Amino acid sequence: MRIAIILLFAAVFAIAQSPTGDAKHGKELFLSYSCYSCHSFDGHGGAGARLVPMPLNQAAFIAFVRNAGRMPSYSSKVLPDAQLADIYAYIKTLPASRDAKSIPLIQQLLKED
Amino acid sequence: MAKSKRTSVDRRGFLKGAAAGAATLVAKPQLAEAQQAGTQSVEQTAQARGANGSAPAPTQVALARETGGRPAESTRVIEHPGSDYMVDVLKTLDIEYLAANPGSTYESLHESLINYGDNKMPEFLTACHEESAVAMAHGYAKIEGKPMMALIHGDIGLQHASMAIYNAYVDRVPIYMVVGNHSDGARRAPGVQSLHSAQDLGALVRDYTKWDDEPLSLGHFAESAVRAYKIAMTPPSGPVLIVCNAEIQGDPIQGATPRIPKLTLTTPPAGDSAAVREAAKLLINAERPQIIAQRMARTPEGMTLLVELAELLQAPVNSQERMNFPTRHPLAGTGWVGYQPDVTLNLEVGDILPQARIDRTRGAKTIQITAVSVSHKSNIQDFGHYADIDLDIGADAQATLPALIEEIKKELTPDRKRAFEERGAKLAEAHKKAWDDQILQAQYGWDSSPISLARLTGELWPLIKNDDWSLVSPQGFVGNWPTRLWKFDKHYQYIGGQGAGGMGYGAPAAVGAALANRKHGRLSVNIQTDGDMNYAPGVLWTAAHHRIPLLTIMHNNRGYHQEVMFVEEQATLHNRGADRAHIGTKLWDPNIDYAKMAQAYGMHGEGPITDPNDLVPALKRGIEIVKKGEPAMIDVVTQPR
Repeated sequence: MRIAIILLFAAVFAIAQSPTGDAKHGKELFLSYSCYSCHSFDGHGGAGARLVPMPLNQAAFIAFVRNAGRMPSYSSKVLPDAQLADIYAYIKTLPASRDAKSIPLIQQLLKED
Repeated sequence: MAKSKRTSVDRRGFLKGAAAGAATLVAKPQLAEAQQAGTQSVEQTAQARGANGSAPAPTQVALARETGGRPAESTRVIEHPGSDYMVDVLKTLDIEYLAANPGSTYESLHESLINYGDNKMPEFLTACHEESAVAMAHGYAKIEGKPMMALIHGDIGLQHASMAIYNAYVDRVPIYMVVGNHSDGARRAPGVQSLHSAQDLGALVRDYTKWDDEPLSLGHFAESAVRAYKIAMTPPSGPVLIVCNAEIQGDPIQGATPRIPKLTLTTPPAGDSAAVREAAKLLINAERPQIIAQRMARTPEGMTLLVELAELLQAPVNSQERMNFPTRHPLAGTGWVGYQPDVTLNLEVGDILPQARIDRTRGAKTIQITAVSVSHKSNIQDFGHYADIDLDIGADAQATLPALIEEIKKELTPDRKRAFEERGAKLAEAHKKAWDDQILQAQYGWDSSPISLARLTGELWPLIKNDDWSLVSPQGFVGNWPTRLWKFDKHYQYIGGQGAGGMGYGAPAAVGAALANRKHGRLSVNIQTDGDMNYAPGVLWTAAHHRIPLLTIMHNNRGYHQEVMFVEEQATLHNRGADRAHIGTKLWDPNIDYAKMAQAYGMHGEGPITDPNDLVPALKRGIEIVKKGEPAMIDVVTQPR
């Protein structure tokens, strides 16, 4: 629900026109800010949510990080929009996981009683 | 930590000094003679033992052994020390093992255990830290259902052991501790014998020890030793402690030995019949009952009873902290999406407030059955918040289940039985869906490096599932992936968590549990967090030395991961950057090489494994070694959680 509202907000105010981030710098920030500690090194989730495939556009992503709810919220003083745009750009480079159907062990586990 | 048992002395220098003083020694009465006569002064004792409590001056026999001479036979002989009788007492308690880090306060008992007692029942295991000794006993008891002994050296050993004792206390696990003490101030030497002794030794850990005593005679020891075992085993179980005076250990037995009392265990307290009847009515009339079981199944019988209760009621079971309920039973879980319980039955749940608060908010009823309700202490706050509940049965839950089951059977009508069956079918469907969803979650990050915990756990399952396996480690820090992917249906297949959340428990508890599993031929598996491993890694040597088969797989995320997240949260709360959250929380630079650590302690070690494709071959090699009766460690570099 929260994400839906943020998405709507982002669409209406067309914040999506923010500049494209620098993925290389975003990776540095992703590591130095320990984003991986909750989301894993390649964004597949852990204690925190999965980031790939990223369901939000950049504006919605920034809006979410500013007022995240369960996750700690990062202010613009701590992580300016430009840096969040860089992190967003890095996340967008992370490949999605293989589908479960192509992982024999998971298929085997699903068949076990 | 200063733990001077005996100051080391250069051997050449020691012998030189000893030879020079030999004539003096021969001329003076031997210490033992004086002791036997009860006439030695503190000064004499100190002189004989070394001025700082270090190595005593050599006897003629020792001198002869070292210098090649042939001295006269020593007259210092105590053929029947009190500690022999203590061993007789301990042997009646059916204690298989003791773990100990050696110390002078129990040296007489130590010798009696290994020689007079033939190092059997209990068998002596060398621990490298007292916390490890007690945590090993913790893990052992969770598998075997009875206490192992930890033999502890004076106040310094007890302080080392204290965190492990607290974990066991909160986890309601029986541990049998014997602590040496130089109680007699007139007889103990100055220096370390005084430093390592206390007026009221049990006071150091009394807040989280179920019962302790300091016997003043051999007869008193026998009574207290048997009583301690009985108290440890009576639910709620807990650690007990006997302070064992060095003087009573070492002095000769005078006359006939005291009788050893018979051990009869106390039956666990069962619930009041009227209260049990009321609980049965509430559960029968509930539309959406829920069972939460925490430290409930003390034995395999507890699991059997809980399955019977759940199937009778067709109620979902949320099992925590113990192997209370089979993970793939159709009633395992918390019900379907939106299942809001109108009656919750809490069985040995630690802090009931969160659930009770939810229940009250929606007008639901809360029932609690726990023996802890009638055994509170004051200082330690492990009892949690006061919770408003509707029916509080102060009794052991496992012991109360037979009566509850019978009451429900008696009161159950055909109409309610039909309703239960309908509910059960829906719950089974929800369980299957939830189970499949959890398995599908494992796909995310399957090919990642560092390796995902789902991949690590998933790849392990086909390698162990056809063996008689036992997971001897907690799961919280590994994302609970084992219970999400594996099929647990036996009581010994999971030992639960630390109790009080004290780190440093995992590695030694795993060794203790594996020790208990050894005689049953079970394959013990420990998914070991790196932070926990580094508290007292010497327990790896204990496993190697005593040939305890245990597969340790390092969950090596190179940090105190949970604390990383907490510090990040605080940084953002304080409106400051989280880019320094690694300070004080990470275990890198240099990375710790766990394979080499394992090898240094004398066991198979390999890794670090970073490529998921290398995982299965390494695990297979480790399992092969463990099946031959040895410990092995595989270091896997993992995702944080």
